[in-house]
Amino acid sequence: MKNKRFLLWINLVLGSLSMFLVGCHTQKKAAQATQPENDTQVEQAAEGDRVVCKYGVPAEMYERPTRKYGTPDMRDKE
Amino acid sequence: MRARLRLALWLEKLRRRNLQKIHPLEQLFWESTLRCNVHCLHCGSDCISSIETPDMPAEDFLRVIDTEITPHVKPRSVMVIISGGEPLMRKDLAEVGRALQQRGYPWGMVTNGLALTEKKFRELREAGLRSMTVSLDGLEEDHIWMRQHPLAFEGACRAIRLCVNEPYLAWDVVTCVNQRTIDHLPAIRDLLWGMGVRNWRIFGIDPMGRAADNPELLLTDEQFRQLMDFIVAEREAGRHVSYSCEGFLGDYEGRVRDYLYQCAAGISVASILIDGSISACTSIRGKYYQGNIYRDSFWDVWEHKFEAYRDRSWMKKNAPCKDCKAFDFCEGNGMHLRREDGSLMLCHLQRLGQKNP
Repeated sequence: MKNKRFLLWINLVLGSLSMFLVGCHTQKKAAQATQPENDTQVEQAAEGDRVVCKYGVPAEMYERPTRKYGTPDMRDKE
Repeated sequence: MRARLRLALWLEKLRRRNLQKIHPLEQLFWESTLRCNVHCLHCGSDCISSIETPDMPAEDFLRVIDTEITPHVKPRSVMVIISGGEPLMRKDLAEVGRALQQRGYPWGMVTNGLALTEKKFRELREAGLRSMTVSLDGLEEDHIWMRQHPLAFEGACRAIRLCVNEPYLAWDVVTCVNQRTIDHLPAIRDLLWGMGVRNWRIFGIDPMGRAADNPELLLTDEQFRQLMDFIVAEREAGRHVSYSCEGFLGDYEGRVRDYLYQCAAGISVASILIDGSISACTSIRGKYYQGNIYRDSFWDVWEHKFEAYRDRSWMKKNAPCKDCKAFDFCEGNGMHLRREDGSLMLCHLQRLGQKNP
């Protein structure tokens, strides 16, 4: 058990060092720190049927799909 | 290969050696059902047999948790991931989740979202759902083609919208990219970021399961490099896009994931499959099963078996690993890419044109 705990601590150090060397942790933090430029936009997208897109693709592409295949709603069925 | 990366990989190798000795159980997959409400072209879960293969009774799984795992672990340190098929096909999913929560286990699931209503989502959250992965494989037409269900895209988008802004839920979207969608990645990114997705994992498709006979699903080597370059660019732009856990990626290590490559199958990852088989990741089948919960003690198997997973030197007997200088870092690539005869289906380094870096 002591040996196992020791190896776990060693692994923590080794893992931290290797992440530091390649900068993985800084990439992750930078990416997670990125917030939407406009938080309201995320709320709108979550509430409404229409997806708002600000990255250059027309929002019309992402309007709520119509059921053009005539299949009944399967959501509550197995 | 740059010097810092090489040093980091050597440190990671030492860390992996230690982990192989300790093999702490950190992730437990439960293949709860093979039933599914879609018919994905690339399914590797062998869902063809879903009709004949009954779901494992929840009490059998929980018995293993109570009598064979809990005495040996701190429950909060073991993430239980419920997979399938489609886990939402089980009517008792929330009950199982609640049982895990009461026992102190964090749990999560992977879903196509088709059967995820707001009511079901709330029920699962109240039952302790802590993480969710939603599969969305492209824009509407491509996703429907991939999932072979006309409501698949709508279901996935609805699931994503339920997750956005949900507090204390770790969630992401997984996309399996193929030849039809590789050039649409920027548009898919726009769609996802527009919906509020902030964690996106991208997978290639391996030549196994239903995908084995469908070349349109498999990226060419050039397209695979295109995928790597896309992910690198996205991460440099500050978006949290990652490649899957699969494959040693040579010079792309440290640039397309939050960690350096390690196949954790059998080292910190185990699974209990639909028929009770004890394996590592659910996509590892057949010869590499280590036991069965209806015959063996799960913990005895976890502690004393999995030799082929924890000492992978046997993989060096075959090409392409035999003369490969990267084996120390790669250890023969992912276990799920090994055929029954031990040969390797796919070498990511070769795909990237970086063999023997």
